[in-house]
Amino acid sequence: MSSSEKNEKNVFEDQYLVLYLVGALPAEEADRLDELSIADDDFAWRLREVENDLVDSYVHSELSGETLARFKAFYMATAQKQQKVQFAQGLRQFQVANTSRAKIVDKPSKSRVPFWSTFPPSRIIPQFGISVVALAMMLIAGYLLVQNAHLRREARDARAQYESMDQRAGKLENDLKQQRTAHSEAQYLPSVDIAQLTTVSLLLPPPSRGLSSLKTVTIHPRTDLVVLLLTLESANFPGYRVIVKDPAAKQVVWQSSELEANSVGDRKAVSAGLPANLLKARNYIAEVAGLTNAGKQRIVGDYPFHVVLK
Amino acid sequence: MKNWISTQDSFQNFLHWLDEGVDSAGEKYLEMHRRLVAYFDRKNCLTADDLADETLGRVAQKLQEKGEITELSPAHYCYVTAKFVFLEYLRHAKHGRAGLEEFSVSGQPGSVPAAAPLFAEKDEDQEKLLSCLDSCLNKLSAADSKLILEYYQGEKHEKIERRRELGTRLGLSANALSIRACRIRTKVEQCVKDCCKSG
Repeated sequence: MSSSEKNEKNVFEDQYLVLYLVGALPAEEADRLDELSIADDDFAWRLREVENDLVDSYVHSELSGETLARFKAFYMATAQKQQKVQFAQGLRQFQVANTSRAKIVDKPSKSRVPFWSTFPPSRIIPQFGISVVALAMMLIAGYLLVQNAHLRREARDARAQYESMDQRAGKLENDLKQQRTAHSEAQYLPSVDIAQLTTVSLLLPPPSRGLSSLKTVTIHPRTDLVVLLLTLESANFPGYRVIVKDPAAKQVVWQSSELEANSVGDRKAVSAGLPANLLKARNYIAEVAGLTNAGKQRIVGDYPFHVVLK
Repeated sequence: MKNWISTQDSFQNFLHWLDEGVDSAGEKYLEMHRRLVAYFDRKNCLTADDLADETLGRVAQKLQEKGEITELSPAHYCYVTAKFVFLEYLRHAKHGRAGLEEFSVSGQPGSVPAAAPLFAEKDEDQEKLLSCLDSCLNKLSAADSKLILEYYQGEKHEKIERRRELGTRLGLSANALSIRACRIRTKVEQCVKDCCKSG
């Protein structure tokens, strides 16, 4: 069977199952599908999938003609199935809000414009004042509800991702210690006990996540090295450089050599280790610059962080 | 659920029989219950949940009486029993009685019954539905939550293309992806149902 024939068959099967779901099949054919819907695993899942798509199509106003009429008259005849439709409507609202959020992230300048500013003041005329205010309040409530839901989900996603990154940071610290041990052995520096080198790591999210609070790293007197793990929105450069600046003193405190981005979960990140004794109790900015093949340097982002000395 | 399970042992025996040798930790039972509810619901029975319980109760009772059922697979046996339960339901409804005990029938296709409450009949119910949906999506893993929102997003060709990309990204065949998405949706739907019911 060719691919197109196979696809046509699948389309036919979908339509056939839709006829079954909206009660348009003759009794004996429906009986056969009834049996399969309970006794055949593959068929049961397939039917459920077609039903989900059918309900979604109704919610998306994609049904028409006989199918729509039968859907309303037959399919919607029980509360169970009406609940399915309401669930699909709720899911759609989340998806719409998700899409809107993605667009806002893509266009940050637009996102800063409050949505109510799209209502020109001239429209808010007195005779419609109360209804407009009521409508605006409903919109605000809906907007806040959806935003709240998404912020919570985003926070949870970020938490999961950063937990994975923390693990990666720990691994990088261990790798760094091992490399230093090997390096010291190679250079015959037995007087420095590298195994005792104390590091502290700080994971910094991409700078575009403006809602996150200022990250703090605590440095103890015995801390030797601070490892910064800087998450990138995207890794478009073959190399990176990290420059740590003291914004109050307007000074560059430290800068790395050329670094490569590593994969951390489904993200890329640059890690840089700097001597802890260079840092004081204050705010710093780790500036990440991308290095082009032509040797040019382009700023990727600023990662502010706060240092606490113990 | 009806009074059909006399002992914990017989219930365990019933679960074991449904599992057909592969321990599903009760998932097979729940899945069969869902399929039966859907079956009675497609027949526009008002009390699909009760009829599904009735069916499973009869099967369990039969298993208890006979010790074993080997002539048909568990799923097929459940179907045959469900068919009898449905015929009885129709007969009772036809005679104007309340059906099997308290069961009732919706009558002709197209009549809209008022049995089980809907998720959202008023604005505040709609808010509750969204809140439950949010809470249920939050109970999923981040990956599952993302998958269900992405899989069921879009319309017509856009949706097909999105699913193809999603399958490629996750390294799943179209069929495996569809089953996974369907399982998650079923789980979330049940969660929302329970959440809305809990008030």
